[in-house]
Amino acid sequence: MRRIAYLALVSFTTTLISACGGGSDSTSSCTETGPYACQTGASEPLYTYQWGLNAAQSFFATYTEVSDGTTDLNVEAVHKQGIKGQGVNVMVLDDGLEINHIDLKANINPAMTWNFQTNTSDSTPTGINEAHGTNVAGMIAAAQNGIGVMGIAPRVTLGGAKFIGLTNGAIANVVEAYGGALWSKNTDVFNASYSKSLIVPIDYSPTSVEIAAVQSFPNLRNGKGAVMVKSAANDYVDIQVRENGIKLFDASCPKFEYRGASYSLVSCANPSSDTVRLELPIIVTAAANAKGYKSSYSSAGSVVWITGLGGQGGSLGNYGEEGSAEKDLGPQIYSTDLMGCDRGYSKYGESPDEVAQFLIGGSPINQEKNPSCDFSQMNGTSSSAPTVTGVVALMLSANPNLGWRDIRDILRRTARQMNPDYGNQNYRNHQVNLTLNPTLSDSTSTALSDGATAARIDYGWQTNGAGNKYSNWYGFGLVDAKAAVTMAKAYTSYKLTQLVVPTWSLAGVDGQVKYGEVKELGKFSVASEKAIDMIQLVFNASKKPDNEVSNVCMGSVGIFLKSPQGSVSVLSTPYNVFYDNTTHTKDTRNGGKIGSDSIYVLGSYAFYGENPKGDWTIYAVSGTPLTTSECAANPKLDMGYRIYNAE
Amino acid sequence: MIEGLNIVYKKLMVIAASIGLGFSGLTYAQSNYELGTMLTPAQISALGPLKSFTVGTMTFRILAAGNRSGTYVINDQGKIGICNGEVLISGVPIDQAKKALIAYQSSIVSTTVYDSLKMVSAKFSNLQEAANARNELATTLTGATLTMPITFNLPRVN
Repeated sequence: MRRIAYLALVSFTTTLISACGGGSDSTSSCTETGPYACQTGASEPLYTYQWGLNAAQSFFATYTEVSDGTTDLNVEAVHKQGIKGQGVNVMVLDDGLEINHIDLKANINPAMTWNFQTNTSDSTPTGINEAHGTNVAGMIAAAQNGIGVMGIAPRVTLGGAKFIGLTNGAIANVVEAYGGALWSKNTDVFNASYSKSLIVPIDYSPTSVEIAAVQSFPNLRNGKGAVMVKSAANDYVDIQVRENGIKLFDASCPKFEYRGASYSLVSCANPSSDTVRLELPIIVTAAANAKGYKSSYSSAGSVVWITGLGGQGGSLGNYGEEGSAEKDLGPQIYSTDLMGCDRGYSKYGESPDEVAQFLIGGSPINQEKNPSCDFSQMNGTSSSAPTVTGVVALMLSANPNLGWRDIRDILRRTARQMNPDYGNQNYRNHQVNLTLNPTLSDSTSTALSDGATAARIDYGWQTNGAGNKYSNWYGFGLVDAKAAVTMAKAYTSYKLTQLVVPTWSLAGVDGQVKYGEVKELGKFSVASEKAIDMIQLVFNASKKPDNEVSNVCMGSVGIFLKSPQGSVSVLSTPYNVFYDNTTHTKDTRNGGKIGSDSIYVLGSYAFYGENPKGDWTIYAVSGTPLTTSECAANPKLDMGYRIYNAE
Repeated sequence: MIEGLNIVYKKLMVIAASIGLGFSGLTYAQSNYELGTMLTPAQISALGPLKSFTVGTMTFRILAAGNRSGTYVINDQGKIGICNGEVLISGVPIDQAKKALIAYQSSIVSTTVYDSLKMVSAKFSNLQEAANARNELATTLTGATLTMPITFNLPRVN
């Protein structure tokens, strides 16, 4: 039974409160002009459902099973100052962007759109379900006009491309999309709510055009450099393997047994598997829900920089208020949809068992609040990335002189730690028995010792030797628009914009892996005292002189790194997505083998700001491979490292 | 729509067609490979002798098929990718990159300069010559990043 009458009353009340300008931030410094000058998004009819912009006054605030009423972007104070993205160019690379959308059109620059399928400037997708990019765009840039929703940067200049989901053998020209073409070259911030979800290790390779283009981002913006906000992916539980859009199988990971129950202890897929996420101009973004907790799907790993808001995995009720976050339900991110009830995520024929009434074309709620089906809601790190992109646009609007490193720096320094005790919850702080099929032990020791047969594989939030708090779930924490814009306005210590890719140094050869144990793979010594930004490690299987099979099954091997100051980062975990295999003929994981010619690279931001001088230790924390994977016995790894400095 | 200089050498249509950058009906019939799919050793053997090229330490074999985006290749694990014989130079001034390419002029089909990114792209008349040029330039063009794009996996939305 639906609570329509009650919900309508709550909605009306919260709209009134919002319209009165909830919050205590002053508009006295605002110089914005126009009909919505210095106003929050309360001017927009669907604003009450945009919990990420004002949680306390949102429709969902009273639904305590799905919302804590406080988790949002802290953005209204910025809007009241009249900072709404003016003068900033955002590029949405996605499955398309509806250029005539009623709530986007005012902000779209037709000279900044492209369609790689048709090779025309009309980025509007043709598929009725290709609404992803239009949703992403609305989260960033939906106009403030008394219609629908409002973007985080509602006066930004918006570009976009039909870049994903091309057919008939078309492949997008990445260099053109990433700032090389006339339509993309003036981009200040790219939004990339897409990734390659990989079930086998891939090489960090001189064949990656994406890496080459991103390493050239510092040349954009007349040398100040652009950034790309990129989703961390939705592969915490498993990876859905698809072919031509059709699901083939779920590439899952082993769960950890403990006292008769099983737990998904760590992220199944590592965001760094898509190797472009190892590049510094990429701001890897995790997702949180309205309860102030990591979204259940959000991939975790040591290349995550920041957390945005992506909502929960499913959304039921009238607007997403039913169920509980613990059961992966809750509100998603409201935004613009492909226009009309015959296309997009809100359309005729959707099932109430799968989506909120708001999305079902012709339902009473839909007819009342979304009668033309021009708006919808979407979850995922695809949604969290644009929430961060929107904040970056506000920062650049407040201070256009920020360089690409400054943007990262401000996001990091102003991020809010969330869910500080998660590392001790749901047995995440228990050691994993490495010699058995995945099980947990009773021990919660953090000791990492050579030859041990159990180890912790999640450390939760840690404070490193430079005093920076970091977590593989949240990076440096939840983005804070008000704090970021405040810092951006006062920012004068601009960082070097040049990006010099460091060369690899040898970290060790013939590092012995022993499946079922913790093994110290090698040590390397660093003389430099320049503070760390990111450290990267590269691995290949050691060559054997007698032509024996030489491979290491990285699905079983976790790589941990200990700094001279004693911080430990988990760069990859054992029993990850490479480990398992289904019987599906296209499941080629087979242990995640790397060979002697592989270039397997991992990275970590967990040491950010630390002085690297001294001895570093690399550990392999290895589970026991499946016998069917035919992993080579007693394998060894050769290793290298390189350090990007915090300039 | 590409920014900057775009030098097209006329002879290319013919060469491109002959190497699979443009495709005849015969090669198209063989072109239904799925990117990222692994061919088994038996499937690879059935294809007969295949030409190969190396990029850095990595070896790729060329399949006699392609589509509008390039020629299919397989890596040492049998994974299918696609390559259009392009070499990208970044990390050095554009003039330096263009100068370095002069030595390969007879093999280059077209050159594109991306001023905003300070990148230069040269498309070669065949994959092996592209790889050879890429590998030579990687050792001689100090400070440059040399990339020979091969696409194995297409991204999908999150």
